[in-house]
Amino acid sequence: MEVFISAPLALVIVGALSVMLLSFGFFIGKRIKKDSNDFLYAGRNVGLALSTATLIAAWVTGNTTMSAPEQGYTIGILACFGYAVAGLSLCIFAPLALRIKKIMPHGCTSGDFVRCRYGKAVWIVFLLISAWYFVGFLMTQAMAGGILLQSLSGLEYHIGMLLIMVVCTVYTLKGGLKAILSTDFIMAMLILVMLLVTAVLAFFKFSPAQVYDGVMTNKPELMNILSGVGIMYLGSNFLFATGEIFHSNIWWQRIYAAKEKVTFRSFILSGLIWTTVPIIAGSLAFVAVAEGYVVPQVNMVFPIVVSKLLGPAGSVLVLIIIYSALASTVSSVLTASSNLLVQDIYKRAFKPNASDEQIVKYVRYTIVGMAVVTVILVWNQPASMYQVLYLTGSAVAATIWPIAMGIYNSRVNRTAVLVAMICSVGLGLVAYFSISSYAAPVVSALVGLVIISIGTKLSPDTSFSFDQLDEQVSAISNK
Amino acid sequence: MAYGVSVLIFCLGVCISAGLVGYVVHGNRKYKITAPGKDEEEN
Amino acid sequence: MEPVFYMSQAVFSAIIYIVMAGLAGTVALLLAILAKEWKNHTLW
Repeated sequence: MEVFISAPLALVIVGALSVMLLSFGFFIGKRIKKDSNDFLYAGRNVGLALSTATLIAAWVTGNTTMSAPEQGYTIGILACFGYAVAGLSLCIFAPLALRIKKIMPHGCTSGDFVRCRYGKAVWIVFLLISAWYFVGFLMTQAMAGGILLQSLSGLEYHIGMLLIMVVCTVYTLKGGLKAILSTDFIMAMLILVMLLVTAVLAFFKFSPAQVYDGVMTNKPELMNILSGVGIMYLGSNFLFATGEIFHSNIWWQRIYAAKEKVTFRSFILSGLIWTTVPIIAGSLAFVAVAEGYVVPQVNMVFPIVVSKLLGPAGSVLVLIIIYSALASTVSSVLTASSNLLVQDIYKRAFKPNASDEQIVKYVRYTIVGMAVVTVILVWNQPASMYQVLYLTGSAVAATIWPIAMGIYNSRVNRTAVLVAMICSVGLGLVAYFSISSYAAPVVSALVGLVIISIGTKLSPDTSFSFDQLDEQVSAISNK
Repeated sequence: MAYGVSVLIFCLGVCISAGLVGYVVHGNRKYKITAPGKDEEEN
Repeated sequence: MEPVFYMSQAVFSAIIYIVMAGLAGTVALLLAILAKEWKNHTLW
């Protein structure tokens, strides 16, 4: 396989980025107070700039930078737009975030909400879905780290994979969410600026008109805006991404970290900025088609295009963009998932009067545990992780309506929600295997909508009131 | 796979997405929730 | 057979330029917000 930069150079770049991350972690770690508010919610007083940047950094994942070009390369222009609508999912979470802060100002995790709103049975299903998603998500990121270094510099897969997991774990342990927020700003800037530089250089070399003509000569079907797979992807990806965001503690944790004044604007702004990333990264894939580059592995189209187009400097740019995307996402997933597991399982179910120090201690253990499990799961590099991640589509889309309706409608029938979630996941999986992976989120969301609406219409729940919600949540938090 | 199925999935997806957006926006109107005004000076 | 309708060259180019300009603009905006919050000590 062709190697674009030498292994030592790749290690130096990754090492420099890692040192920057770790020193930030240690620097911030010395300054934070030793309570869970600071470690897990960054003091609950984060401003607009850091809040927006952390949303972008967490949402620009290894999949955004590697799969968007891959989708553009295989499906075409519609897939770039299809990928980009995931940014609008961040925007639609903005109004929800405001309402969440209003009804549960003292809330902690998405699991808190589900448990207090719907009871234990739904909560258990919800935690299973969350765990499934977190593990799948972490696995893809760890793998992407290994594949990235392997394809750019020929380094062994395990080295890159271990490097990203170890560095992220250590600095997350040290600094908590505050360290992540400050590094996220740098990461987001690195990703956005480097991507812009790459795109400007690429389209300076080949103008968009030339690229278009090349694609029309070599593979005109990529420009077809009525392509079957393309429209299906366009129609379903918003629901998949919305499901990912609505249920996931990554975003709930960021609602509670931000000041109330900036919550709404930070979700809208980050959503709009994010939308440009897959379109630009995806459009670079068309350069490969237009110029007839040989792409041995379709998921490596982005690094290969940039490396061929801009030489070793391009490889360095790609390495920085994707490594930053991976690091910021891995650390966010690690804090969010460990927070969810510890707050929701350890504190709620086993030790309601756990002290703050104990919580932080167990969160740290869980972070290490999650990292180790991830490394073990991806040790023997699985063949296609993206499809496995999309397999979570039916599960995450099953949470859309329970969350949305639970936040706005006090009469939602709890049994209907439980039935809806289970049926959504089941029928979504059937659609995944019998129709297409892209049909899964749509079927899942449709089933959820129908079952919950009918159940609530037939037998509305009159015992719940939103006024109780914050009391219940604070009651568990303050025990 | 038939093209009609793709169109169906697309249409369903767009309708559910639009419904969700409408539901959330309507919900915030119903509960009179608006984004707090700009006030960067406050700490 | 699926129907075919190709995006035109002008639209493709326009999208690329608009999105790149959008990214540049919003990054500048984000940096400006950071500078302002840094000055006012309202970062967190």
